[in-house]
Amino acid sequence: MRRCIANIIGATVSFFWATGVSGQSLTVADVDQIVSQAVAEARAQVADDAVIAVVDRVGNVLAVYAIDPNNIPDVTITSGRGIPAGNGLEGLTLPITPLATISKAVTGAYLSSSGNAFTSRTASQIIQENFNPGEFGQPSGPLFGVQFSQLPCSDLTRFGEVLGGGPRRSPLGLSADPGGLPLYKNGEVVGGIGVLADGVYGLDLSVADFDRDLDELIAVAGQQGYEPPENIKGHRIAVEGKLFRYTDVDARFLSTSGSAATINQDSYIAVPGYTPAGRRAGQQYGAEASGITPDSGIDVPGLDAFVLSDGFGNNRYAPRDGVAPAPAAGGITQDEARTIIMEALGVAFRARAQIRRPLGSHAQVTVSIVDAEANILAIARTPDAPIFGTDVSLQKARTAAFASRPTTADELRSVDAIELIPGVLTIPALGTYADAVQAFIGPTALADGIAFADRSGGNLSRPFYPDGINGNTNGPLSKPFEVWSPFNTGFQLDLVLFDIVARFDGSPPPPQGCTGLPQSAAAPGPMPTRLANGLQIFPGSVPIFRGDQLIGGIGVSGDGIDQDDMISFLGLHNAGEILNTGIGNAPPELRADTLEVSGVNLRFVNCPFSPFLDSREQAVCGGK
Amino acid sequence: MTARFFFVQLVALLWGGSAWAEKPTLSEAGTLLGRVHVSELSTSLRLTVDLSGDVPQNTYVTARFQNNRPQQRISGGDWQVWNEQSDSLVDNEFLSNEDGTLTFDLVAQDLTQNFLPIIFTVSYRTENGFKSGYLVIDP
Repeated sequence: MRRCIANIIGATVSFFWATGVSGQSLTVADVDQIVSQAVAEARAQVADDAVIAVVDRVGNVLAVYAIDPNNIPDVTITSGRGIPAGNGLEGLTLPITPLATISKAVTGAYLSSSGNAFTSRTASQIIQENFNPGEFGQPSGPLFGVQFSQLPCSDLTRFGEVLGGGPRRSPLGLSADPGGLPLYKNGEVVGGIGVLADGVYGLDLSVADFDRDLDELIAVAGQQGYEPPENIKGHRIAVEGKLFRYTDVDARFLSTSGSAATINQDSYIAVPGYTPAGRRAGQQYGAEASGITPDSGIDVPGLDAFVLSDGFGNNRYAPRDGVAPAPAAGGITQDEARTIIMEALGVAFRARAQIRRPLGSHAQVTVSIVDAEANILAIARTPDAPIFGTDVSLQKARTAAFASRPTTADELRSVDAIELIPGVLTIPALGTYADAVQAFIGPTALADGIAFADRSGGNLSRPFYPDGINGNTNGPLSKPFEVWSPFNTGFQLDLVLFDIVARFDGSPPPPQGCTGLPQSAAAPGPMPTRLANGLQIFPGSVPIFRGDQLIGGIGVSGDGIDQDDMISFLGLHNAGEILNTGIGNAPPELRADTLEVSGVNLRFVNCPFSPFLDSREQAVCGGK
Repeated sequence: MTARFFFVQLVALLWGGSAWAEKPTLSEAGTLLGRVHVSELSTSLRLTVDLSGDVPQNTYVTARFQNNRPQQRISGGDWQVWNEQSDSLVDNEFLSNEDGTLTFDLVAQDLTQNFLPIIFTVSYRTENGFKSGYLVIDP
């Protein structure tokens, strides 16, 4: 018996060391404590209509608390740039405050891990037209566009009020509005808290100052006792020599010093599609019920990989054959899908992480593989990859495959305009974007099978072209800067805006996922649309080719964008070398970096300097 | 036949047979036949559609989960893994009713213990191609 107990302890310890996952989770008492601390600060700040949400690491909504459940104010969505209503989500005032708080809580949870703690303020810093925001002449934020992920119409994320496996959807995607923080227990991220008390769902246009944001102040109060370790907070992590911003306020600014208020159980409100009334305990990340578990060793053998689980012990996305094209028509085989995902994870385990502490950690990412018509062929992840990268990696894989099809322009032209709010907001026909790209690049663009990585499409999706040169005209997939904001990006948002708004009532997603684009036509029934969980416009994916035939896409997300690029590109390249079946990256002459547009070549991938922990190799993507 | 979907207890479910005053029709684009919360199901799941003059040559029933394990019903009521290719669909040999309708038997199991949502697609092939419709069982 003693040996048995010792073995169990040993196994538990080794599991923790191997995965960074130790089995922490939020209890009901934790949820009450967090909410009561936030309520105390809200009352001290006379924020009597504040709404507070708590989620677990995989996005289950554990509680939404309205201080006055009979008086929940509307929320106005605005970047603060003075862009009027009629431009995407800008300027809309809507009765969706509980949904906004959930999105903020999800953001804190999903962007964070045991190696990095980011907030919705961090998100604000990395999604704007310059990084840092307000620094003219700098490229756009590294996660430009990530706000439109985890969408409520996604065919990947889980939905509904029932507590269960994640990753769960987020009603407004990820949030850049300060006041969304991660929650930790014993150094492990276990969830997030989101607060909305100021009536505005916005962002921070400048990191040159320190705000005293009401939402953030209340969220910091709620987080007391559930803070991340100091050395993994965003402000300890740098990209391009610039430190991330974690929060603008900390415990020193609190009126209540984390003391708790009496809470009214009737103030735990129901939010249809997300949570019933009351509060509940969170799932333990890594356990079957969380929907993300260690691989059994069968689907991704020999690697310390995690997979998405169906709650019954089955891998949701075990490697399988391509559907369109099928293997008989040159499509990806199950063995190829498995080899690609294993090689990509193998690169990740060697790669020097960009956004994690301690220094010398390996990258933590999710890898997704799709066929040429967006059918999912495999998903796997490293153990502590931030959750947001699950949906984003799939977005990236689908984006690379979609943009590289010779039918892309025609398929865009199949989606008509939608008058979303009569007289106020019309979503343009998507053909306008095909027209704009062809006017920008040439008449065969998006119709000639040129291979677009996400980085290439991202070049066309910035409000300045080339990226970061303030005052230049916009890329053809972006709105002009005069009306551009993270709430009005252009093609990326117009593609899914109807689907987002249509889910404000908490309704489930369509079975074919987001967008009005064509569905995979392999067989009868609802199949995924081309971009069934939305488009992504920051780097980390490449299309998969066999010879000169497009057969799919691979997407990677979770670390720095150059690391994500490298893991997708090299993972696919290495798999091709092993398989020797003709599968691999697009032939160099077909890649988008052969296109010169306005005197500048588009980019395909950009791999980091000295990328590996176990070698001094440089230029690792060159010549491949 | 795989795992959980068919290990569950056989509970006689009866839902859908009289759910529509007017029988729905299938279409080439695929018709949404309805969304049902799993808790609303009580007995066997059966769908009747109006053929609108169509003459089905073959009939098919498939089920997609939110994962990589689509399945198809085969004649007699068993289920098997399906690779989502049209040419591998197995005819269920459902026969048209005298009133110009067609009834698809889907399942006779408790669906609550499955990975939801489940999307059942019923379809038939005519000389001009497929017509289909789908029913979503939500969690």
